[in-house]
Amino acid sequence: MHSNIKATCNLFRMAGRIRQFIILTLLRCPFDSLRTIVQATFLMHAFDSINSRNLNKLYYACGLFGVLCLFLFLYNGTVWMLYAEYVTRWVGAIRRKLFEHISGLSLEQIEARPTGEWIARLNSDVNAATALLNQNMHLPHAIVSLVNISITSVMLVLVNPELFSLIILFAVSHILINQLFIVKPLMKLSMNVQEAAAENASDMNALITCADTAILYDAQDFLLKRFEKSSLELRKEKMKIQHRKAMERGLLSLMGMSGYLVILLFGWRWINAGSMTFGELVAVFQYRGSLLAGSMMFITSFMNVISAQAGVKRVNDTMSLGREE
Amino acid sequence: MSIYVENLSFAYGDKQILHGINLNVRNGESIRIIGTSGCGKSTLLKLLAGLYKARDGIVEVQGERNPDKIRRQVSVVMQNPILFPASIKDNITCGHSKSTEEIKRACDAAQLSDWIASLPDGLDTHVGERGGKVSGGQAQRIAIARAIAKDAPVVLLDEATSALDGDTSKAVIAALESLTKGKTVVSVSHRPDDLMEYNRIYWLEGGKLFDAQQYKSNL
Repeated sequence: MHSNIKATCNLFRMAGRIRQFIILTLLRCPFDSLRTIVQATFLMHAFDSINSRNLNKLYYACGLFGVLCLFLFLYNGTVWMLYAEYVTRWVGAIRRKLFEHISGLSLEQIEARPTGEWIARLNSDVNAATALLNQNMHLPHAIVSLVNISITSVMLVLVNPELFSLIILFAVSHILINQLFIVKPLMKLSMNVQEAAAENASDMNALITCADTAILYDAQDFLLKRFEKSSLELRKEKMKIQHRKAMERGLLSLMGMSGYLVILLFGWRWINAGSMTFGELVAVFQYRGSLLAGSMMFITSFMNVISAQAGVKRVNDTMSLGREE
Repeated sequence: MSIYVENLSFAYGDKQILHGINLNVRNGESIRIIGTSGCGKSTLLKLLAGLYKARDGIVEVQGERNPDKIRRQVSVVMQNPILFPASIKDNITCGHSKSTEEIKRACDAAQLSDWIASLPDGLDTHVGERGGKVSGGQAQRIAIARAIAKDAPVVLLDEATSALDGDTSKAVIAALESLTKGKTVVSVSHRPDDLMEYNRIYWLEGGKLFDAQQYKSNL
């Protein structure tokens, strides 16, 4: 873990603009929690208004909800726009610096590794490493989800501490199983994918560089079969990652649904006992949904960050190759 | 006739490389073509190897004019041989099924056996990309073993002896002698040397082919 953090820091240092990244991530942090609080509070007040047949209170809740949603929409859109611009420049900076570094290496260093290796270092490694910030769920999502989980937990404790304990019980066991069977093997699998991609690029390169010899010795089929074999190997390694991700989705459904049923059972008892209103139960579900979504977002983005580490480490490895003066 | 070339001309786009080349090589005969860099030696060799199609003139090798069929009749060895990023064995067999005996014979003839025996993985040793894990001499002998294993009646040598020195030279020359024994040989080079014997020597200049003796007397 320590080496992963160090490698990520090195990558950010290489690309520069660290302050801008921190500011943009901080700006993104409050959105999910604010949205959850707005939605949960609205639902709690709306259902309480319906229960007490207070139409004015319902109108007020709906109006306020509309205005707050509009504000959140504008805020989130603006931050995302700035973030997208930042990521484009960040990826460009990494690619440029890596290319500059490789161009400065000696011929001896270049020839010590297969062409496919260099192609992979310039393309798939950069793509894998920059996935830290430019895939669907990435590093800032992990940070945002942590903030969301913390704020939602506080809100849940305030509404109903017993249900919060139950939700946490399910969430923690989910994270532990996930860590053991999905996150850990994913790092190794991602590294295997990068290595298989390099070998595949090398075999593809041989189809062109060895073309005349292959034609003379009727070896095109041989080279094609090698390329096919390494392509299949690459696909097999990618499939292993997909299997783990499918396992993760299955686990999510299983843990999510069982937790939902348990809360429903407890909520029904407490509503019957008069210690909880229906509006409060709906708000609990809203907070729970946000807490689980935050946990899932954290797990997914954490897994993606772990996958990206294969690329980050290889980019750092390339940048650490000494250049001849 | 093993190789028959009549009035062969060749151009890369507007740039004319070969002009009206005529050449006859009998079975088992070996000839050498000498010429400066850029005179068209390698282009002529590629035409003889069936890598290029003769559009102007005739190229016939072992009675074949179709480049696909010509390629089956020739083996080519270059100064800087191109090796596949695969094992020594795969580089010799080119993925074709060859018996262990055939591979061993090719290795013996190419003076490779002692070196291969010293390798931990033997014939399965990976040569690296562009032969990066073997020396130039070893790469050339692997290419010779590949040519021997193909057992084609015509052998084309492209600067195959141009960069030889010291001990490597002896091993490569011995390998080349095994390869060319009893075959029709066309060797192209940018300078004359006495490393191998030839029946005839030609001079290629300005895209035209001259008999070397005649060329000297004309000069």
